[in-house]
Amino acid sequence: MTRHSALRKSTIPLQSEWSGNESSRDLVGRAQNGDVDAFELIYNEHSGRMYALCLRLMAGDQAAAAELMQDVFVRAWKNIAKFRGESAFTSWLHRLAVNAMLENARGDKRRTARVLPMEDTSQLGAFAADDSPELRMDLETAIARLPAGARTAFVLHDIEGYQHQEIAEQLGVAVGTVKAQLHRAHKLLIKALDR
Amino acid sequence: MTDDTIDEGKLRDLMKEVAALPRTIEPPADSWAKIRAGIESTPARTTRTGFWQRPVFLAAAAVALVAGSSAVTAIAISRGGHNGAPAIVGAAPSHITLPVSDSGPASLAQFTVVESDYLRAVNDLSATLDAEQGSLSPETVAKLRESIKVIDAAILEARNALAADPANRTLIQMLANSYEQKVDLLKRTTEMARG
Amino acid sequence: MSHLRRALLVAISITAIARVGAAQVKVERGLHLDADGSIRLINLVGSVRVTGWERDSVSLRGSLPKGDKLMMGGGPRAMKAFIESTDDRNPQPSTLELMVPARAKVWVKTATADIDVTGISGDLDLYVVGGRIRVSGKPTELNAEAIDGDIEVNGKPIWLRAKSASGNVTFNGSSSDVAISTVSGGITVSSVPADGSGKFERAKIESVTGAIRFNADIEKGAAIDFDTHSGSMEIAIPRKTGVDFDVASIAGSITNDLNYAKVAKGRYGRGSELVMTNATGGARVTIRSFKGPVTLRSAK
Repeated sequence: MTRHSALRKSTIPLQSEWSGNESSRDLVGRAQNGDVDAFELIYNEHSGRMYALCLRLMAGDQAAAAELMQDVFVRAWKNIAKFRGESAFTSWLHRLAVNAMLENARGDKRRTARVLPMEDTSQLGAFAADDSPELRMDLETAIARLPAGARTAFVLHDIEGYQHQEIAEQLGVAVGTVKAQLHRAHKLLIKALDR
Repeated sequence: MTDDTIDEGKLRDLMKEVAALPRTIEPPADSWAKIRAGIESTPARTTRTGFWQRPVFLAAAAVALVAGSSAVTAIAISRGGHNGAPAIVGAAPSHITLPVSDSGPASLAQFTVVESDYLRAVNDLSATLDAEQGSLSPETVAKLRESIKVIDAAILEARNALAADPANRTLIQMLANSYEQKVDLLKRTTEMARG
Repeated sequence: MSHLRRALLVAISITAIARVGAAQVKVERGLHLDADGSIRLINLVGSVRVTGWERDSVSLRGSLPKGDKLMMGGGPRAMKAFIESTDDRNPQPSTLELMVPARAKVWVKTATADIDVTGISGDLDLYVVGGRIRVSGKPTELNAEAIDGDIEVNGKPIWLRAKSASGNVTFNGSSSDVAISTVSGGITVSSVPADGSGKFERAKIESVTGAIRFNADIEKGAAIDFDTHSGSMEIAIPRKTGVDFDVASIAGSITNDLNYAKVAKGRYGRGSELVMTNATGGARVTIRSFKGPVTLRSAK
């Protein structure tokens, strides 16, 4: 997955990317040679953003988010030799995080709750639990309560700034599906936040 | 017909709130320690990760069933090989190593602890099946024994290779896979025999 | 002689010979079953055919050996049917045909009776010892287990588990979550539809000595594992599909006819390995073989 900052819709500024930060390049190079301390510095640089991504992907479940993030960094360590610098390191980590989340969600949990398939827009549910009109949810809670497909699309597009095509490619779904999920997320969030 | 449109003004307000969300969130303090432990449990970088690295070794212990008289397994394992690791009598060692796997025992010596769980499960299941096999046709029993023989031959070969290359985690994984297949086959057949 | 022949039949097998003649009795039963109800059926010998339909009911028709009884009961949420044989030690063949709600959860167990299922979109649990299992359609979850029997699946189950020891497993279709396992039986997986649909997302395909043939496309971000001890493996994917390959063999050969990446010797010069990216990468395919030959090639 590549990111083209010129096309990015989100106004949220990014952290410094790989191409503009020589020290990051050095650290990755050292980590590729097996330097765990260098990898720790990479972790320190990226963990805040990765944890935020994981927390929102995992619907606010802190334990699950921490576990996902740990999984992502361990995978990053194991596969860092494959990082060739053609994309931002952050993008590469993001891709690992989304892949890890999808794999965990698809995990061998037969007949237990499954992640709502991205394709199945007909089953996009409303929020669970409290629909009391008296309570106005904060945005993080509202995001956490989104159905899984809508939440993933929303987090990747509106918070992390990926394009529809990029999201579709990573999730293995049609662009139309991503747009439908995003639309659904917007509707649900607006309703929940009582805008 | 349901109105599926979104008020543009409300959407803009939502996006403003989204833009104000924190891009980084501090992860739990012990995250790096856990990641480092995960990294250091991998002697060399591996490219095999993912969902199917389930805790097969714990699962092996979990499948140990009804205690009963032990049936003989087809593997002869004698204790006291080199480095204190069990060796196969009459084994022809092979000196082959491969990229390592990432989870579970890191050496044959460690694997033998888990292997005893597998053997116990096999013995228990074999005993149960011996008691139930009257409900299976002789032809089926013959086919089953043939399949067990095939698996046992694979286990023996893998184990012999591992005895000469005790830190080869790929071989450990292969050996564990073969044990799992044997346990699974015995379990399935026992359940079918029981009706 | 008839006594010896009877003894021989008992000693060898309970063979599935379906005969409808003077010794067979027709049965027909119909009961209400909810659209997503459950039905459990046991028929050891003979055949079972299950077809999904759009009615909230079960229709069972068949022929039984004279003297055997069809036991069927339950309620609209769950029902059970089985054959009460006059001789449990030597059951004779019964032929059963069921029409069930398409979304029902269907559980069938036989010994040597074949099971054929079409048009079910609910869950399927099918167990045979020596019979054949054949499923067509799009069940939500399909679990098919055999000891000696073949399993054939045509369609797109969302979740598939197929296991046989010495039988072959053939899957023509696609699924997002697949596990196929045999001991000596062969495994054939194929699906490369021209319209780009029907890819695999997550799969574990393993055998001990059975040959594995995979000719299908893979989703971006997919994770596919192949394992064998000594079976031959032929893995074919479209040349443009992005895959990160990790192939390792202890004592077998690896042949790469998919791209120009070279197979390397394993560590310390023994065995072989191939770690490479096809096209732009993305999906992950891991192949492990103890000594079975591995071939990668482009899907046709």
